[in-house]
Amino acid sequence: MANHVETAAPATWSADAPRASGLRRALVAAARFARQKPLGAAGAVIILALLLMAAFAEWIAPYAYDHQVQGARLKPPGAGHLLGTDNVSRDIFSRIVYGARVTVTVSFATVFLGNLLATAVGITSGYFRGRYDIAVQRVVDAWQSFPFLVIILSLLAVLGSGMLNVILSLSILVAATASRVIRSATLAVVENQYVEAARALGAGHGRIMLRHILPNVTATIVVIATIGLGGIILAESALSFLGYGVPPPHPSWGAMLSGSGRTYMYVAPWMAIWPGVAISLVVFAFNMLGDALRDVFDPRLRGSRGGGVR
Amino acid sequence: MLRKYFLKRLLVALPSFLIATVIVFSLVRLIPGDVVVLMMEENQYAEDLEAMRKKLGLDRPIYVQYFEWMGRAMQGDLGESLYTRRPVARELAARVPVSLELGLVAILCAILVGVPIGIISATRQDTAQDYVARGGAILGLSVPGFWLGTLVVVLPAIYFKWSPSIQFTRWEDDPWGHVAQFLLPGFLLGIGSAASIMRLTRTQLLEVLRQDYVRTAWSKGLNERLVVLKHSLKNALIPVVTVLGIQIAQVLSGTVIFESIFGLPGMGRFLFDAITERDYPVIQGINLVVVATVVTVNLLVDLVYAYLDPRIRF
Amino acid sequence: MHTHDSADRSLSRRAVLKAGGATLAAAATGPYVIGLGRAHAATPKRGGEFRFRGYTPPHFDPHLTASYTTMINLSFTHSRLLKHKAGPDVKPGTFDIVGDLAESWSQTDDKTYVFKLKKGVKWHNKPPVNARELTAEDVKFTFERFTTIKGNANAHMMATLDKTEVVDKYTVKFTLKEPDVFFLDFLANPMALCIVAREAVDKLGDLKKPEAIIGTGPWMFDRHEPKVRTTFVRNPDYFIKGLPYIERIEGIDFNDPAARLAAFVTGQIDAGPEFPGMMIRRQDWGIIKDKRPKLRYVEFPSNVMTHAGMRIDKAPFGDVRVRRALSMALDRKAILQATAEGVGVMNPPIPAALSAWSVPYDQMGDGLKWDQHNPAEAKKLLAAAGHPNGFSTTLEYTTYGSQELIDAVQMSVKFWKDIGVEVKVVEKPYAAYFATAYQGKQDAMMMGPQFPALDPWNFLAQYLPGEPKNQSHVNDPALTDMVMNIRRTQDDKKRLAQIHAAQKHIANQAYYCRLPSGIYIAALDPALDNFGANLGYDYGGRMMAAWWNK
Repeated sequence: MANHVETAAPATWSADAPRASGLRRALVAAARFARQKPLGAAGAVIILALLLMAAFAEWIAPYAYDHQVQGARLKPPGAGHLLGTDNVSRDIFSRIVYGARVTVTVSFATVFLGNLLATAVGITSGYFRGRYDIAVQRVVDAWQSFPFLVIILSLLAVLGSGMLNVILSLSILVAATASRVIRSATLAVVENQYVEAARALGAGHGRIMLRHILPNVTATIVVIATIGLGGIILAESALSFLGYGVPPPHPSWGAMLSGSGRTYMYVAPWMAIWPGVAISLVVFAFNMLGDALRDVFDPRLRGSRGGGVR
Repeated sequence: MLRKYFLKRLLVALPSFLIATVIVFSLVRLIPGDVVVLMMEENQYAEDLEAMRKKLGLDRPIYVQYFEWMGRAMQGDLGESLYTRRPVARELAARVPVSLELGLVAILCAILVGVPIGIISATRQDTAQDYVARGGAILGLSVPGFWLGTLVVVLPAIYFKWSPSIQFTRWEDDPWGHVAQFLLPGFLLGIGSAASIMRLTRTQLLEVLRQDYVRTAWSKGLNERLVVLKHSLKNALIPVVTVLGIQIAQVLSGTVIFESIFGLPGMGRFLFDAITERDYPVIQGINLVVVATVVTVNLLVDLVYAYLDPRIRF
Repeated sequence: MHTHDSADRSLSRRAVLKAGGATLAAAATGPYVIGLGRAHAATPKRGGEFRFRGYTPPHFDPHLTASYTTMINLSFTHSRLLKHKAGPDVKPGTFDIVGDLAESWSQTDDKTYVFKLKKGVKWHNKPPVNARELTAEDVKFTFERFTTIKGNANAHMMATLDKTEVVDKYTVKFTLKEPDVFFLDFLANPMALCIVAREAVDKLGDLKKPEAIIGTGPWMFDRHEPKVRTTFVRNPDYFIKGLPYIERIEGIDFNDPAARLAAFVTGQIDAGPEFPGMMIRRQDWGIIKDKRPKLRYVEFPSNVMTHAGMRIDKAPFGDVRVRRALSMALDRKAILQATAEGVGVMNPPIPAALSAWSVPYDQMGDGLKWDQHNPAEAKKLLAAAGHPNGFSTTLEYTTYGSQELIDAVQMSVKFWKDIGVEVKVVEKPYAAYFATAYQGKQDAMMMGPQFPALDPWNFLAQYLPGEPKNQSHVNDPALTDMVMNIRRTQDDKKRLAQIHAAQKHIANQAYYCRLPSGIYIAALDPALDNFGANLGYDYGGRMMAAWWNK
C-alpha cells in the first residue's frame, strides 16, 4: 500500500473567528454550512430527525412497538396507519420510530467505542513512532486484511450473537480503519513547531497528546466517525439478514427488512419498503454529512479512499 | 529497483499476515467451554469431552498448536471438517474459484462502471450530470446489498416469469452458462465498489484538472482536451489502483450474502454454513485462505502501483 | 395374532387379511396398483426428470444422525422392512403400514415378530456390494449396527428389542424384551431402520461418504455436490418390476427462501420448495396461482406442533392453576392469524394432523377450557395461586431461521405480559438450544416446535419422567401408568381409547401450552401422475410409482 500520502494538519477554521457569543457563532456557522453544502445540511437534518425519533419514540409513535391492533392485519398505508401494518397487526410507523432506537444505539455505541480505541492507538502510534508504531501498524494491517463480514461472523460464531457482541465485534473493525487515519493526522500535527516547543518546555507526553494533538485531530475523528456510522448501519442490516443481528423484541430496521419484510414481499411490500427506505435514507445522510464535513475541515482529505489513508 | 521495492513490501506484508494468522488461530481458543461441551453432545462431533478438546486442538499449549497448525497449513493441510469429516482444503479448493470468479466480475464491473462515470462527473463538475452521478453513487452505497439481490431475484420472476438460474452450472457442463451466472450477482456486488471508485476517480481527476497547465490546454479546444484527458487520467488513476486493494476485502465480504441468494457454492456461503454448524476447522481454514488472498492481492496492487508511479519506488 | 402381507389394502391400521399368493403376484408385476384395488386410469410412462428442493446432509449414515437431510436423501435409495402406504388415494396424515422388503410378517406372541423377506431383491450394482441378493443376514447386520453403534440418536426406537435372529435365508425373527405395540411403526419409520449392506461398512468404515449410498431402493445414487445438488438415477433392477418410472431425481439445495420461490414460480423445480416436501407458503399462494395457474394443490394439516414447556419441578409452574393461566392467556387464533394466515388446526397433545390417534379437539373434555383465550380468568387463577401481581420468568428458544416462530414467541410473550407475567426471552443458537432447552435443561420456560413424528408414541413418551424430551419435567404417576399401558395394549380399539384418555388428562393438566398448527399446501406439477403428498420424509416412497404424463 502507498504509505506516502499523508494528510496535512486539518485547518482549524474556527481558531481566528471573532469572539461572538457561542450560540450565535454556532448558528452563523450552521447557516454558512447549509448554504455551501446543501446536501450535507440535508443529511444533518435527517440525522437530527433520527435522533429525535430515538429519544422521543414514546411520544412520536402512536402505538407500542409490540401492540397488536385488532382487526388491522397487513393493512396498506392509509387511514389510521401511516405506513401500514404488518402480519402481526403491528403499526409499522411505530416500529420504524422505535427501530430508530436500535439503529442509533448500535451505530453510535460502535462508532464511539471504535473511535475511542482508534484514537488511543492512532495518536500514540503517530506520536511515539519507532518500533511501537511499526508493531501497531502491522497489527492494524492484519485486522484490515479480513473482509469485515468474514471476521464479524467468525467472531459472533465464537462469542455468540446479541446486541453487545455485535457492538463489540464491529467496534474492533471500526477501530482498525479509523486508527490509520488518526495516525496520519497525528503525524502531521506532530511536525508542528508548537509541539516541539511544548516538549522543550518540559511538558509530559500525556499532556502533549491530550492538550495539543487531540484537539487538532478531533476534526478528522468527527469526519470518519460520521462516515463510519453509515457503514455500521448497513453492516447491522447485513448481519440481520444472515440471522446474527439484534434479536427481538426491539424492532431493528435491518431485521424488519430481512425478516418478515422479505417473507411478505409479494403480499405486503410496504413491510419491507419502509425499513429499507429508512436505512438507505439514514446511511445516505451520514455519508453526505461526512463528505460535507470533510470538505469543510480539510479539503486535502478529499483524496482519501473512503476513510482509509495509509 | 522494482524488485527491491517488492521485497520491501513483502517484508511489511509478511508480519501482518502472520499476525492475521494468529488472530485466525485464536478464534478457536475463544470458544466458551460450554460450547465445546455442546459440540460434543449435540453436534456429536466427538465421543467425549477429551476427544472433543483434542479435535479442536485445545489439549496442548497454544503456541505448540499454533506452529503445528501453521506447519500443516503451509503444506496444504487445513484439517478436517467437523461436520462432514472431509479435508477442509479439498472442500475449499472446489469453492475458492467460485468466489474468485464472483469477485473478479464484481471488480471488473466496479471499474467499468465507476471510472467512466467518475470521468464524466469530473469533466462536468457541478452540472446536473455530476449531481446525478454523485447522488447515484451514494445511493449505491446506501442500499443494503441483500435487498438489491432479493429484488433482482424476485421481481423478474413476478413480472417477466424469468429468474436467474438458481442451480449452479459447472464449467464442465456449460461454459457460457457458467460464466453468465456470475454476471448478475457480480454486478450487484460491484455496485458498492463502483460508487467508491467513481468518487475517487472524480476527486483525483479534479485535482489534476485544476492545475494551471491543464486548464490552459483545456481551454484550447476539443483536440487538446482529448490529449489532456489521456494524460490526466494516467496520473489520476494511479491512486484508484490502490483502492482495488481495499475493495478486494469488501468484495469478499459481499460474497457471503450474494452467494447465499444466488445459490453459488463459494467460500462465502461455505463460511456461513460452517458458522451455523459450528465447524471451527472450516471457519479457520476459510479465514486463512481469505486473509492470504487479500494480502496477496494487495501485494500485487502495490507492485502495479509502483510500476505506474515511479516516484514511489525510488 | 396378526398376519399381514405386502398387498395390505385396508384403511385401518391393522387388519386380519387372507394371505394369498395371487395378490402377491399381481403386486409384483405390471403397473403398480395402489389404492383401494382401483387401477389408475392412465398408462404409466417411463422417463423424465423430477427436480425438487433437496437438502445437503452432514453425511449419509442413517445410524449416526437423525437429521431429515440424510433421511430424505436415503428414502430414494434404501428400503425398510415396512413402509407407509403411498399414493394419490392415501389421505395425508394417515400412515398405514405395508411391506417394503417384507413379503409378510406375523406376530407369534406378545414379544415376537417373524418377517418373511421378498425373494430376489438385489442390492444396487455398485462396489463392493455388486448387486448380490439381499438376505436375512443383511437385516440382522443392520439391526445390530443400529442398536450397538455409538452416537445413534434414534437408538431409543429399538430400546425394547432384545435380539434379532436369522431363521433362514429369507426369514428374520425379532424378540422384544417386553411387549411394544409400536415396534412395527418404528420399523416403518423413514428411514431410521433402512437396511444397509455390510460390505459398505467393512470397506469404508462407516456409511458417511456418498460412495456408501448403496441400497435396494427404486433409485441409485448418482452424484452429490455439497450445497448444490444431489442426483439419483433409476434402478433398473428394482424388486418391483417396472418401477420406478421416473428416470432421474434431482434434489437442488436452495438456501434462500426468496430464491426458492422464484425458482418454483419460473418452473425451475417441479414441486413446492418448502419443508417438509412439495409445500408452498400460504402467503405466496396468490402469486404462485397467478404465475403457474395449472398447478395441483393438496392441503393438509402440519404435524409440526410448537409448544411452550415449563419446569413443573420448580415454582411457580408446579401449581396447575399457574399452568392453566398461562395457557388461557394466549390468543391462539390471533397467533394462527399472524403466522399462518389464520388457516390451521388446534392441537391436542398429539397433533391434530395425526388424525388416526389425535383426540378430536372438541372431545378434549375439561382440558378444552384451558385453551380458550380468557385473560380475565387467567388473572384470577394466578391470584388464587398466590400471584395476584403476576411474576417474572425466562423463556429459551431458538429461531430455526423461522420468522413465524419468532412472531409466535413475541406474540405469546405479549399475551403473558397482559396477565402480569413478565417473560424475558433468551434466544439461543440452534445447537445450544438442542443440547439444553429441547431436552428440558432450560431454566424456566422453553418454546419450540416438536419433532414431527408420524407415530403417537413419540408424543406420549415425552411425558415419562427421565425421557430426554420431557421438557416440562412431568412426573405424573397416573399418566406414566397410562402411557406404559398403551405400549402393552394389543387391541387396537382399546389402545386408541387409552391414547385419547391420556391426551385428555394431559390437556387438563396444562403441562404445555400447545399452539395450533398451520395447514400445509402441497403444490405439484399436474403432469405428475399417480403421486400423493403426505407428511414425513419418505419422498422416495411417494415418488416410487409416480410418472410424468407428458
